[in-house]
Amino acid sequence: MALDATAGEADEIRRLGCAVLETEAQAVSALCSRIDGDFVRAFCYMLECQGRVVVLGMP
Amino acid sequence: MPGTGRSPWHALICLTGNPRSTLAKAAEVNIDVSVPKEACPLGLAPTASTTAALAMGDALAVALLQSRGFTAEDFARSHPAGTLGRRLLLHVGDIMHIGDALPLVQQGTLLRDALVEMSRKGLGMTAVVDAEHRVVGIFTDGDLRRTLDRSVDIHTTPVDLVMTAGGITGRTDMLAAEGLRIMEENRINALLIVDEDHRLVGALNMHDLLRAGVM
Repeated sequence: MALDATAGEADEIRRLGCAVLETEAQAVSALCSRIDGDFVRAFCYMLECQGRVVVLGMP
Repeated sequence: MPGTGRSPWHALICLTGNPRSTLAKAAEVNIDVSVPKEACPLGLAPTASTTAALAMGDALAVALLQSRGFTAEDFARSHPAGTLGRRLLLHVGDIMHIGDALPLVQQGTLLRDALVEMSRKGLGMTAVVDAEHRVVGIFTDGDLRRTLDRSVDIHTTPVDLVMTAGGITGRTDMLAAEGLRIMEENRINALLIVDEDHRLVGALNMHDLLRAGVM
């Protein structure tokens, strides 16, 4: 394919890229309904925190 | 740790995709960031789930930021050494050339003498001021090029006739980032700094901004 994709290949590449963004956008949109009492409680804990908030992640 | 009776932290807040997980159960608060599917066709690489966690973290951070009345200056103070802090804290007055380092000539000065002043101060320009020290114009390297094109005699021509009249000016209390914006917008390399009476107090050029880390 090298650097010159055919029109068909280009369409497919764009479709793949768009599909990922749509999947991710839907995942984010769905979070609105998850903003509930837990979100508010997490917010309050951090708002009242006088020290530091340690943020870490694990796979 | 949770369960040991001596928690080193005030509260453990989790963002997980599984409310029944050990981590979620150990937390005081668990925010559900589960996603119906990953964007990865194999369902292996975290894609949609990492985006969701990122977005939920932003939601918490921004909600807190607004409730606390966090300002741009607070942000700068907590990131003083970074580019953001510099952009928010550094003012034109902190980095401009003043006194002897400021290139300036009086109105009526011969172009020849203005060029000497420009070369001596090394900012690629000189301000032209009136008897009250008010800025009447600027003569830059660019103006010099345009002047040479017109075969002007530098020994007999006053700088006023070939300068850029007026010129674009800034103020000392302006953020350096704002000075940069003005220079970029007007495509100029140097900015004259004046007081409220339009009297010259300083000057800076792109190199000064570069050295200060504003750009």
